[in-house]
Amino acid sequence: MGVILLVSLIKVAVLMFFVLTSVAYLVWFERKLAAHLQGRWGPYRVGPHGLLQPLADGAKFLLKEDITPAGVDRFVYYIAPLVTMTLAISGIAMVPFGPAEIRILGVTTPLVIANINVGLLAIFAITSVGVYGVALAGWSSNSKYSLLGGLRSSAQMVSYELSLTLSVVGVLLLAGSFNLSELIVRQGGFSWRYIPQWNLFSPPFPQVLGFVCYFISAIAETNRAPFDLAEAESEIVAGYHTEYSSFKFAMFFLGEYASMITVACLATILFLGGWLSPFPQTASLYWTHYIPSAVLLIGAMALIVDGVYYKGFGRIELPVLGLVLFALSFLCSRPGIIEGIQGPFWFLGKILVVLFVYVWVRWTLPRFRYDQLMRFGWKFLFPLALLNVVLTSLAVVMGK
Amino acid sequence: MPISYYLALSAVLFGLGAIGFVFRRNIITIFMSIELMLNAVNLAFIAFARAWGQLQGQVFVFFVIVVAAAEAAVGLAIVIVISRNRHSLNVERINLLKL
Amino acid sequence: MTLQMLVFLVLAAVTVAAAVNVVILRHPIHSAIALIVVMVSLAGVFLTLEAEFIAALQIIVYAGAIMVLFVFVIMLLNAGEEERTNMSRMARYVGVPLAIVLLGELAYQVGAATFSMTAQPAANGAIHGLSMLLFQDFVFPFELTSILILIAILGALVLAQRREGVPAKREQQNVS
Repeated sequence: MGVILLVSLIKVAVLMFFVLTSVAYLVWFERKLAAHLQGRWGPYRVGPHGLLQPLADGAKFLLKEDITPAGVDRFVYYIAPLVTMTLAISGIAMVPFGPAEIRILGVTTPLVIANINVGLLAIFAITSVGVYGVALAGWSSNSKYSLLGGLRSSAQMVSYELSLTLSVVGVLLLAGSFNLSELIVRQGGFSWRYIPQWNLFSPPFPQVLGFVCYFISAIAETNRAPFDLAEAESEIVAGYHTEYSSFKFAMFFLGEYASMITVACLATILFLGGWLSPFPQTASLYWTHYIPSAVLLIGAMALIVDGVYYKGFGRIELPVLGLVLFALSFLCSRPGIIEGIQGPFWFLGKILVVLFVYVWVRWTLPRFRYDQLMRFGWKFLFPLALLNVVLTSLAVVMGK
Repeated sequence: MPISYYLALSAVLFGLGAIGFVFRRNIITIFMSIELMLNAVNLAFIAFARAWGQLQGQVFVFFVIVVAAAEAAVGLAIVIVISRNRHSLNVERINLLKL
Repeated sequence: MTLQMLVFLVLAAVTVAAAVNVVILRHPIHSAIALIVVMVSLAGVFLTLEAEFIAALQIIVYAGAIMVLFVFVIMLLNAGEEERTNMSRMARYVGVPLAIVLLGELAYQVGAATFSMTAQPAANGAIHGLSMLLFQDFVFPFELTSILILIAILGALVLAQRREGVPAKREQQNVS
């Protein structure tokens, strides 16, 4: 019993490290992508290709002066960013990363921290309580911009939560379970031998409507553009986190990106087949098992070539990074690891695609006005999600 | 684990809710004490559902939660209207029919 | 002291401490936060009683929607702290001790009673059994609650809107 607890703690520690690093480098990813979309370079100087920018930002947040405005409600002011960040990070605990089971300290455990039977409901529960971080932060800051921004933000989050949970009901009707691992397993199989049966193109009723509804509601739920009126700089100073400085602001920031990652994980699990590979697992297509090492090999070569021509310190770092990737690529083609790495590789690949679209949408579309936002959520998305439920249940019943 | 421990917790919560209902003066806090009492009742229902191995207790909790939602919505709307008229949230100042 | 007993004790301690805070704290927002803590830890207790769906429902609906309503109303009405009054002598010396004695007695009597437990959790998961009951035996109350929610929405909308032609008065600082 004690060993199982220890193994779980090890998994939690590894996942926490992984999530916090991903959140920091997601910020880098967004800044680089936004820059290239706008025809400029983005962070370039702090470390090669700006790769040390998140570290510099972290140091800045830690060393800045921490101001507490007068007249704030101290207890609520301090716990609001804590609540936001804690809940945003805990959502990842229910996400399964692969089918394989690994052995740590002699115990065989699956690649998920908590594979509970109501995993989907648990993630939605965590998202619902996340509204409080925003509302309480806005209220406790004792400032008009914060209060208005906080109230609008939390009202928006509560409204879009409805269409978020309703758009997922179609998937639940097709799968018949709330367990995330089981949802992925039921998307296995291939129709017409080559098209994967992910929920996006699933046989009884493709969940395209559900996916679109889910994605739009998720963007609104995480307060990202084009739904970020309540926290945009040109509109309301900074909304609910106006009065927060240094590390508390960093916690809001990280919480927003962590919930972005959670929502992307959920989108891949529910609609894009989770850790399933898009290629059928037949013997003739066994070469697709070498795709992870091929990708890592290409990355390694690109880094080495780029590093040789780089001016400055990157001359040493980039080739070293390239060599590390080369070693990883070799490791991924060894027989013990190659089966285990398939699941996480495809999962991470799909999450990257979803995050790419997320950032792309942010830097392409203009903002919604608040009343347009609420009208869109209540009068368009919610009936659309209901329509999806009705059509999916029709398809399921007629298929029986 | 004997079910009576859960029932003792439910009794304590209910008692605290009743104490809050009687002793507090702010109408919203009184409302929250009512919600505390409803939660205590939910716990008792679930405990008995587990004890007898039936699920009707959980169905009842489902309905209690839904009814509490409806009641909270209408009750808070009434509180908003009253506070707009009397400019106070103190129940001791809402004791006359005419202002 | 089994693990189950330890988990229940921790959750029960958190619940009771938060419930005491709901009743004692003077600012309604602090009471609301304490009530949210009560609901979340009660959801934990429901999980130990193998009612996973109800636990998730409690957090999503009760702690995630109803309490948000409370918090919004407190912010809207700008509710301040309750004024600190000394309770009447009767309340302070007779009422409060009697209340505590009553509470202790209730808890003891309920806790010491023995109930015979069959203790068989539902066979194929609580969700399946719950939905079977809800849509077969209890379908009429289920549909009735949807009408109830509709009535509640209409009632709240009608009650809380400002009437036409009445200029919105500046809400004075609430003395509560």
